[in-house]
Amino acid sequence: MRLRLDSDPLSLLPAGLPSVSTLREHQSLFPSARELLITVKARTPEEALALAEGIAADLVRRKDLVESTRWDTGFRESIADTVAWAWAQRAPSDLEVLERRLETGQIAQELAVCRERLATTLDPAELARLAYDPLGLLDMPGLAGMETLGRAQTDPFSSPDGTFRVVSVAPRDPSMPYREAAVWLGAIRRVVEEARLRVVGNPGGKAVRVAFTGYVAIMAETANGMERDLTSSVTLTLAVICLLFWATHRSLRPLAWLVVSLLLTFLITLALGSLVLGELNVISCGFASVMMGLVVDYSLVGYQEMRACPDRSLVQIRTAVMPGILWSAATTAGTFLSLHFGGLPGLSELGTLTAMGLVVGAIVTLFWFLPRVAGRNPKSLSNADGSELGETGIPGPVSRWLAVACTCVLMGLAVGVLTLKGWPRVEGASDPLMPRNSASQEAMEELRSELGRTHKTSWLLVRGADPESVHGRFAEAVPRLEEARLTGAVVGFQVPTVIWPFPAHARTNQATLGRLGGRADEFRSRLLEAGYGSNSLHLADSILQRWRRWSGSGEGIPTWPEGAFGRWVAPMTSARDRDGSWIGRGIVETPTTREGVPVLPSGVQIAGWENLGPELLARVVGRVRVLTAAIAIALTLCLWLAFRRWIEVVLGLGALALSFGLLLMVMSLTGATWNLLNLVAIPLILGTSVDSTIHVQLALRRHGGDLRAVWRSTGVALLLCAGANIAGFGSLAWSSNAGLASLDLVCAGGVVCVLVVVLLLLPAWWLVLHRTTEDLSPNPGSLAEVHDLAPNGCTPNGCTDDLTPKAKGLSPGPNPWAKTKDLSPPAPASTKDLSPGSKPSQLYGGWAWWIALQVARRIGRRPLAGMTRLGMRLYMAVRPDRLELVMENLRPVVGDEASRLRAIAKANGLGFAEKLVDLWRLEAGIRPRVRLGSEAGWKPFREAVASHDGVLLVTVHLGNWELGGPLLTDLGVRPLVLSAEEPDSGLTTLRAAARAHHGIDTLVVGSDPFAFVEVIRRLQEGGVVALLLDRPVGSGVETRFFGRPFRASPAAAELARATGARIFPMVVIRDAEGPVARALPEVVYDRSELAGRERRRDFTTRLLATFEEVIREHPDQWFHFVSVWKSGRSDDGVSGT
Amino acid sequence: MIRGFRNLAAGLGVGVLVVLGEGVPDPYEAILRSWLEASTHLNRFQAEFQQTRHLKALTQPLVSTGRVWFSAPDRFRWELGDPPQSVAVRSGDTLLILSPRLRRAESYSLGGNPTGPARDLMGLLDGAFPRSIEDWKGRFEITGVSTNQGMLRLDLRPRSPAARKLMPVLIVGLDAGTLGLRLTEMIMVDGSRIRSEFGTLRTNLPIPSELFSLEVDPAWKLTRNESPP
Repeated sequence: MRLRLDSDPLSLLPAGLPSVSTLREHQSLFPSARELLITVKARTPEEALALAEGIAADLVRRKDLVESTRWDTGFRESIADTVAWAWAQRAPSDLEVLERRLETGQIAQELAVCRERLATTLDPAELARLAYDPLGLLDMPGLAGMETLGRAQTDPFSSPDGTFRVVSVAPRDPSMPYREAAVWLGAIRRVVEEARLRVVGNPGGKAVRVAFTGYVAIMAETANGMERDLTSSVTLTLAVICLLFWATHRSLRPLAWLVVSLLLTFLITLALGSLVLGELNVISCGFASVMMGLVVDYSLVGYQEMRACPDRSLVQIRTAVMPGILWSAATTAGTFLSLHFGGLPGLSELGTLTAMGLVVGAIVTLFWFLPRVAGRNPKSLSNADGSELGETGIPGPVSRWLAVACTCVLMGLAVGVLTLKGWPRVEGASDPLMPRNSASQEAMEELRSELGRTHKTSWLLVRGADPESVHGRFAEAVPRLEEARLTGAVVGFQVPTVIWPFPAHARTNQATLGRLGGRADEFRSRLLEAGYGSNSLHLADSILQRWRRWSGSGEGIPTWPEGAFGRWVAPMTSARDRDGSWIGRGIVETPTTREGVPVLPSGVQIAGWENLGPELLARVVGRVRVLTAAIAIALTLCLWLAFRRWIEVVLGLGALALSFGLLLMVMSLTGATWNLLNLVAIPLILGTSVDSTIHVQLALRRHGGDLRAVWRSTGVALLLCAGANIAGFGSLAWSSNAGLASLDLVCAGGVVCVLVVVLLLLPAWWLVLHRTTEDLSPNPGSLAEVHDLAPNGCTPNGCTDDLTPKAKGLSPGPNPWAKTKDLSPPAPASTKDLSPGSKPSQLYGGWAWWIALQVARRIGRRPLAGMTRLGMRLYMAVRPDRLELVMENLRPVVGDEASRLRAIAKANGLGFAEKLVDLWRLEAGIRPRVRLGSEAGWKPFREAVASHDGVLLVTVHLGNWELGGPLLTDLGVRPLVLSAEEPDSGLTTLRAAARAHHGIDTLVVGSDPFAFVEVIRRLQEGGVVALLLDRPVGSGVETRFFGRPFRASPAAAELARATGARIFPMVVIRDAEGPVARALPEVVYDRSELAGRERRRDFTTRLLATFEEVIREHPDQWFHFVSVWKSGRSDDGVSGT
Repeated sequence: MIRGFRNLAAGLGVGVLVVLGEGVPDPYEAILRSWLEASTHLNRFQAEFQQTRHLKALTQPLVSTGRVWFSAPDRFRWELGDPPQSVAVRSGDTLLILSPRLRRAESYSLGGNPTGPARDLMGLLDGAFPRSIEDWKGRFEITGVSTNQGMLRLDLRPRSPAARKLMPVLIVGLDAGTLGLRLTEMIMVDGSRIRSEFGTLRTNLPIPSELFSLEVDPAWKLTRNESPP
């Protein structure tokens, strides 16, 4: 697969805007919009003319390259054709006036008047016209503008002084791709150079200058610039990254692997880009360097971790850094994906590619880069956290207040500069979408200047079913345009009303024209009698001859004028769409100083690059405002989640605000402006810079304000990462696209400003606001700390897998910080084991569950199951620790054979995906069909229910036990389900509501100390209560299961002792035909034997044993994603219930 | 071949002119300065003239009479025909062309550097009345000087290519003694010639200011032509 580059500037524009649609339509309908323009600037008009003629003549001979060439409108040589045709299109009343003027009795007087004007007129143009048109056939309103169609006062092919000329070239294949266009342009250049040498020789300097512009030239140049941008920015970024890495680590091997991993990321992203997008546009090709500058952070973090903890295994390192890297990739990718809301497709694609690159980069780093640099004995970091620095790095009050003074000075400076020099302007022009430092663009500017096109030029497009309707709409537009001209909204305009075909008029006029043409001899003799020479008769003769031919022969009046002018003007002013409708094209010039376009009648559209700017800008500004506000809210939330203290949230936001102030100051001082593209730098900088404020403040917390330690552990890493980011953005400062360059310059400038503020000022602010000694006490127990750049779980004493204070060597014994004022949020880590095996996945929460239910409600089971299985595969890939945990859980069930164990664990994961789908659908209100197993098993249950004995249904996490509830309601039973509290209260409520929907009551154990009173009451009244045995609420009771110590819920035994309820084990498993509910044999017991705690524990073991066989049959459906064999902290065996 | 030779000759000719222009003093500079000095003494003048138009399209020349008034620094009035069929009035930066018979008027702005029709008109009307050497030299170059029967003949070439498209040559005849204007002859691009022979020049007589009035009868059709900036 080969990635294509889309060099068409139109691809950068949003399709939804009316002005963009009109411009696209114009470009596709009018072939002249895709022509090559060759400009010639010579010393004299004669030289310019000769060279233009020479070039045109040489090129037109190259039929393999060129369809046609044009260096002149051809009006003078085909004036008779044009005027004869134009009269035919006039209203019949106009022709009647002409015929009356030329009546036999009238013509003598007409000629006398003409002679008198010839003798006395002071107007050179009138003098020239009357001398060669004594019959006044050229005296037609609007005809004067025909020669200079498209421009009010100038020739479209020549400057007023004639020293500048234009040759337009229609390519043989106007839709050739950019590579072919570049080759084609090269061939054209050679032909032109030969013509130049032949015609004007080889004058030195810039005496005779030939340049190339127009669509083909711009497209070829843009595409070449894109290729150059892509390679040069990648090379430059890589070079800077290498330098930074070398300066920091001085190690060649990891550097080499780093470069290879970045290139691999680049290539994979490029391949994915070609799959997803198909082609890169001029803006999106800038993704490579930006992505590399960001992705390298992940490698640096991983490598830093290895250096800090050289004794840890690859899996341990990866497990430690994976959450940080994946979250960072996800949030940064999210920020770049937000460019989709920026309103410009070019930026959207840049955002998509960069986001894809970030995700790919994170995966490549974790699973390709780290294995390659692992075990290479990276040089370990000494004093990584600064704790061995000896002398404290906490600055004194003077230094703190000095930094605060610097802050005030900087703020004052920013305010002063912005007050005096003003805010950076917002430019409304669409120039940022165009190439810069471009020879073809310069040639276009010169062309505009030389031809006097100093105003904004746009095309007027009118569509109609036939030429007459188009003509009518143009005629309606004229008064509006004239009005706009008088108010200054329009400088000039030209609509093709005189040279527009009007077949209905032509048919009517045919007879009149025939009569006039038939009088040619009479006119000739009258003119000669009046003293006119034979050369004054030539034009009239030619016109009359055409009229006679059209009326006399069957060919009729042609649709367009014959001759060179007709061939030029027809495609310039008209086009036919696929549906046969007609499109007319006029031109309007608006002042450069005014924005917007004049109001025109419906049906008249304006197309032009120069008028796109304001509309695009309005769209982008609106989107950027919303985007920035959304990102600002999200950032505030992020900061809150990270710190849980408003003071630090405010400090983080303050740092970002000051950084932006400095950026605006620099922009104001350098004269930089905001434009269509670089406006989106605002959300980009916010999204990519907020983590710096988090890292620094967390490091300050961790090191108790010791700046030296903060610098060594976090500052250097931030500097390195920021350097790479700046390199990534900055390498596009020389991009061939002006907008991309400005966007990346602003981003790089923003990163620099953020870095300055965050590293130099933010620590001082933090210290000023945490002045007391208690405030500055190091806080090792913060949950937020685990997300810091500092190696996770690493201390000077070594590295552990466990992030609890205890594991970090801060226990046993009283917490040394217990008497200090803890700055961190309430730390769950202080009481709970945070290892993956001790807690459920973070995905298991209220919001995620709610979204899953919404999805399950809307799409079918099969696609949902496919998606869920895919998600589970990905989850197992990125969380191998979870897979290993499942394997450990299953080991006593299936044995120690590793391959079998792994296969069953994977099948277990996929089976859980299936279970989830059924459960979501059930809770979304869609009941799956559940079969009842052997009736023999269910008969005792039915009898027990019928006799109101009180039934305790026990089950384990096997199959889809939740589907049993609705089955019971089908059997006429309203069960009460005992449930543990879910990870969040919202989820608990959500799930209870779903059960209630199916007629199932829920009792959350643990939240209500009197809950079991209700359970006992329900059983005593003959109700049915269902509970799970193999996951205790609280510490549970230690039993044996599969011959291993196992903590189980003693609830069933306790309830049996309290109520004497009958106990039926039950499972709902999935076989080839779907879910099936199986009732296992009733567990018969003697209530009096359950009096002691030990007896109840044995009874629980007995209950569990009833499930061992069915679990062995279906190990892939025994779902536990937390460690089941590892006991809780309590060893006392006391039931938590 | 012939075309190539012509181009070569033209190129050589241009080269010679460039060399002369850059390295050698303009041989006509003294004449030009004298003429300018004589003209600038004339703060006001009026004259009658006879204009003969030898047009290629007509077998016979067209003859008409006219009058001209001038008042320094920038006001003039030309009338052609008797009664006047065409009138040109300049006052300040406005040039007004009136066609009384057609009840039509056209107004041109001469502000800045006039282009297009305004420039062409000015070339026809004031080429023979230099006021500033720089301005005049910017518009014309002297290609030949000769004397015959007490008349100094200056062959002028408009510098503007656009003006040359209309009028490649302008001949100015001056009194060899006083350097007063005796005739102008415009050679048009098709070979037609417009020759104006001036009668007695009456200088520094009072001229009624209404002659330079730009007022247009409201009943006339007035077209305004703004010169592009």
